[in-house]
Amino acid sequence: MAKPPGSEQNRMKATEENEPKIITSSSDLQERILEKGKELFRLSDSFEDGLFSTYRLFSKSLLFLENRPLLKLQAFRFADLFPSLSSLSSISRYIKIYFVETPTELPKWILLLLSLFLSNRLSSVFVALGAKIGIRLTAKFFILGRTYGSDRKKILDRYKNGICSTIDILGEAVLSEKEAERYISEYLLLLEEVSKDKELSEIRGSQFPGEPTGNVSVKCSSLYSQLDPLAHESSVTHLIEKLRPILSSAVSKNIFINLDMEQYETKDIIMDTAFRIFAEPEFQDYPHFGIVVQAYLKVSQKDLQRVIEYSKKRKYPLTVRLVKGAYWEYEMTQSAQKGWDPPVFLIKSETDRNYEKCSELLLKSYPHIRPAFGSHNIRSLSSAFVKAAEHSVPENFFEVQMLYGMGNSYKQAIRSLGISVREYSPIGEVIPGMAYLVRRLLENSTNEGFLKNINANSKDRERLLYLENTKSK
Amino acid sequence: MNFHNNSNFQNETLRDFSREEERSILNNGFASIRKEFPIQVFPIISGKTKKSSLIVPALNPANTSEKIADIHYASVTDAEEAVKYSVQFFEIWKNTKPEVRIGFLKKAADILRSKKAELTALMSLEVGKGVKDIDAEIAEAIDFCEFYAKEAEHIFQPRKRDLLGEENIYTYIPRGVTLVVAPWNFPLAILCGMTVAPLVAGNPVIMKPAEQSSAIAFKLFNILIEAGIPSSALHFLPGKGEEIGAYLVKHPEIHTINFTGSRAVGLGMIREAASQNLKFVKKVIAEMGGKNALIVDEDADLDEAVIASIQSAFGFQGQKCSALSRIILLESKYDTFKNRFIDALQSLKPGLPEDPSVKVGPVIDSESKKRLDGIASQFSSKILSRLEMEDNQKHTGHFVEPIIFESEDPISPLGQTEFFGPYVALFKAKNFEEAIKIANNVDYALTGGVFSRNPKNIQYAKENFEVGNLYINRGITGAVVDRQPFGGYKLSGVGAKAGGPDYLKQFLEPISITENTMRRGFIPET
Repeated sequence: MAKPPGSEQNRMKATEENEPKIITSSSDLQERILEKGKELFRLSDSFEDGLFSTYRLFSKSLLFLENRPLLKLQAFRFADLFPSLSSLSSISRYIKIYFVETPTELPKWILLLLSLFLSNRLSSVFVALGAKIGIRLTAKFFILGRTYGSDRKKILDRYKNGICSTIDILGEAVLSEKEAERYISEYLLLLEEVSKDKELSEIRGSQFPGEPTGNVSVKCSSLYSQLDPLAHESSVTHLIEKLRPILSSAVSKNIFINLDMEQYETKDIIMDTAFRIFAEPEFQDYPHFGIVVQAYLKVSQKDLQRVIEYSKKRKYPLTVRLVKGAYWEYEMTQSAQKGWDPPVFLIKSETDRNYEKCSELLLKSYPHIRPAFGSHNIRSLSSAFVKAAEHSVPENFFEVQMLYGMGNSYKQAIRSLGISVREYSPIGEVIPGMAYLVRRLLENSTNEGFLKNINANSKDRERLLYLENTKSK
Repeated sequence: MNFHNNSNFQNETLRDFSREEERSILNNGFASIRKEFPIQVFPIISGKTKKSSLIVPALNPANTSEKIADIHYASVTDAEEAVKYSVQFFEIWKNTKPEVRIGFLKKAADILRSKKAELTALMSLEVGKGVKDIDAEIAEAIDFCEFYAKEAEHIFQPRKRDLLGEENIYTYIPRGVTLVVAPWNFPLAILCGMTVAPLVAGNPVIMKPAEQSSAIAFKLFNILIEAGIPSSALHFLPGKGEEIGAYLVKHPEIHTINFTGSRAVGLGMIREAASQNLKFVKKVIAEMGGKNALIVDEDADLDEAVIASIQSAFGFQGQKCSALSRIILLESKYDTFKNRFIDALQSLKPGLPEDPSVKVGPVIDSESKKRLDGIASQFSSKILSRLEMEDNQKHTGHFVEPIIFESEDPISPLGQTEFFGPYVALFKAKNFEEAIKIANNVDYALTGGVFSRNPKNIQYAKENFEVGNLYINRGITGAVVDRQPFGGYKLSGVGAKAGGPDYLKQFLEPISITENTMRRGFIPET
C-alpha cells in the first residue's frame, strides 16, 4: 500500500495531540474506548437505511435461532447438507427429516403448516422451491457472485460507496493436485480480471489514490493438496512453488496479496512460507503483501512479534490482518481427540482481551507494520482506534476489515471517521459457498458475539462495549 | 464445553508434529537407531540367550539393500524349553500379588513413552510404516499397558454377595501358559496388548513374534523385562511360524493361544485345539481379517468421504485388518466421488516412509508383493486407476502400486477376498438398504463405515451393518483403546475386543466360592 497523500501531515498532528495522553491511566483509557464505541453506535444508527434492510431481516432471523438450540443445530446441519441436495424432491424430503421428524423448538403452528404442505406431493414442491429460493437469496447476500467477471458490478458499487474489498475464492476442500491446479488458475484468472477492470481503476484513481490495483486473499490450503505439518519442509517448499506464479502476476499488476490463515495445524507452514517467499528478490521490495494473525490462538502475540521483527527488515511494511479466528470449535474437537491442550483461548473474553493486546503490539510497531483490524466487534474496534491515537498512528495508516454483506451501517460509520474499510468478499459457487459461510459464521462463539453486537438494542449495546470479565458466560 | 465421558481412562497423547522440536527429535531417532544396525535378535528363555543355527537377515522393505537386523531363529528344542520353564514358573506368577504385576505394566508404559523416537525409527525401517501411523501405534501400546493395568485393578477385587450365614465370592484365577502369536502389521501395539493382558492376569507368556517384525518385537520384549516382568514369566521365541508356532499350538501344556493373523491359520489353530485330547479345553482367541466396506450415501459430504477413503484404504499400504477395501456408493454420488477419489490417489507421493512427505510406502515383503501383483494382473480389466511408480523406485524395495478397482459384482473376489494391500474396489448401490446388504454379504464382520447426513440412514446402519467397529462420517481405521474397543465377529475373529472391558477376562477362569458360615446356630459378626 503506497502511502496516501497527507499521511505525513496526519502523523504530525497525531503526535502533537498525543503528548499529554501518554500518561493516561487505564480507567481513562477504558472511558475513551467506551466513548468511541458509543460514537460508533450513534453514527451507525444514522447510516441505517432501507438499502441494507435485507441483512437486518437475515440477522433477525438468526436471532430467532438464538434460544432454540435444537432448531439452530438442525438449521446449520441443513445448510451444511443443502449443496448436496440435487432435486426438489430431495430438498422437501430432507426438510421433513430435519425439521418435522426431528424434534426442534419450532413453534407448533409452523410445524403444522410445514407437515401439511409436505404431506402432499404438489405442495411439498412449493416448500422445496421456497427453501431453495430463500437459501439462494441469502447466499447472494454474502457471496459476491460466481466469478469476479460476472459479478464485478457489486464490487464497483461498494467502491463507489467508499468501501474497498479483498476478494477470496470460496470452494470445497482441495483433495488432489488436479483440484489445486484448478484453484491456482482461478486465482490467476481473478488477478487478470481485476487488473483489466477499467471502471475499477477509474473509481480507484479518483476515490482511493493510495490503493493498489486490487486486493486478493489467498487460501494456501487450496493451492497444495498435500499440506502436512509432519512434512513441514516439503509443505513449505511446495507452497512456495505454487504461490510464486500468483505473486509474480500480482506484482506485475500491482495487486495486493494476503495469505489467509486457516487451522492451527498449518499456521507455521503458512508463516514460514510467507517469510521465505516474501524475501525472494522478486518480492522483497513489493509493498502489497499481508498475512493474518488469529487472536484466539494462545501463541498469537509471540507469532505477531515474529512478524513484526520480519517486517522491520523490509523496505515496505507487511500488512497484518488481525482477526479472532473462525475455527474455534474445530480446534477444540481436534485437540480433545488428540489429547492436546487446546491452542485457542477457552473463554471468549480472553480472546477479546488478547485481540486488544495484539492490536496494541501492531500499533506500537508503527510504521513497520500496517494493521488491518478484522472484526465486527465494536468494542474491539473502538479499542484499536483509541490506541491508534494513543500511539500516534494516523488514521489512514490502518484499516478495518469486515465481511461482505454484514454490518453495513457500521462500515459507513467507520468510514465517516476517516478510517478505510475493506470487505472480505467471497466469490464462488453460490450454494456450496453459502453452507461454508454459514458454518464459518455461526459455528463459533466469536461470531455469535458479533451478531449480538450488531443486533443489540441500544440499551444492550452499551453493555457489549465492556470487555466481559465478571459476567462472561 | 459440556460432554459426557464416563471413563476416567486417559489415552496417551499423540505427538504434535507441527512443532519443530518434535520433528527434530524424530530425525535424531532415525540417526541413532541406524547406529545399532544390524540389531542381533536372539531367542531368550528364562533370561538366557539362545544360540541358533539359523540366522535370517531383516531388510528394510523400502530399501532392501539396508539390513536392519539378524534374526536368530529359535528351534523346537528352544520352544520345548520355554514351555517347561513357563509351567514351572506358573505357580509363582499366579500367586504374585496382582498389584505387583500391575506395577510392571505401568512401568512398561513409562519406558515405552521414553523411547518413542527410537521405536518410531525402528518401526518405520523394519516394516515400512509412516510416522503418524507409528505414533498412533506407540500410543496404543502404551494405552494397552495402562488400560489392562487399570482393568486388572478392578477385576482382582473379588465380587462379594454376602448373606446372613453365607459368604459368596466371585473371583478369577489365571488359566495357564499362554502362547502369543502376533502379526507384523502392528508389530508393537498388537504384540504388546496380546502379551501384557495374559501377563497381568497371571499367566506366563511365550511370545512368538512375526518373522517380519522380530527386531521391534525384541525391543518390546526387552522393555517388558526392564519394566520388571520376571524373565521366567516371559520368553521370547523369534522363528518360523510353521515350525515353532505349529509345535507350540499343539503343545499339551499351552492353555491359551492368543493369535492375530490370517483366517486360514486362525481357523487351523481352532481346529487343532478342539481336536486335542487334554484335561482341559484349549482356548483360542483369534483376530483374523476383514473385507471392510464404507458406504457413501447420496447426501454425503464428499470432501470428508474422499479424504477418509484415501486414509483408510491406502494408509500403511492397506496392510491393516481394519483397512478399507470396498467402497459402496449410492448411484447419484458415484461419478463425482470416483473422479475426486482417483485424483486424490494420483496426488499421493510414493517413496521411503521415513520421508515425511511420503504417503505410499512398500508392502512388507517380496512374497506379499508377488501375491498383490498377481491379483492386479488377474483383475486388470477392472482397474480404474493405478498410482504408477518409477521403475528404479519399484526395484529398491517391495513396492506395489496402489489400485482403485471398479466392479459391478460384489460376489466376485474383488468384493469377497481379503487382499491385505493397497487395493480398493468401488461398487454401486441403488439405495441405502441395498448398500447395507452388499456390505454385509461377506464372511467377515470387522470394521465398516458410513458417510451420510440422513439421520434415518445413520440409524438404519447402526442397527443393521454387521461389523465389530462401525464408524460414521469418519475414516474406518485407527481405533483407540477404551474409546473404540477393537475386534470383529463372523469369520473376522473369535474373542473379546482388544482395549475393551472383556479382554482380560479371556485369560482368566471365573470361580465362585460359597461358604456357609453358620456353626450350630452361631453366626459370626460380619
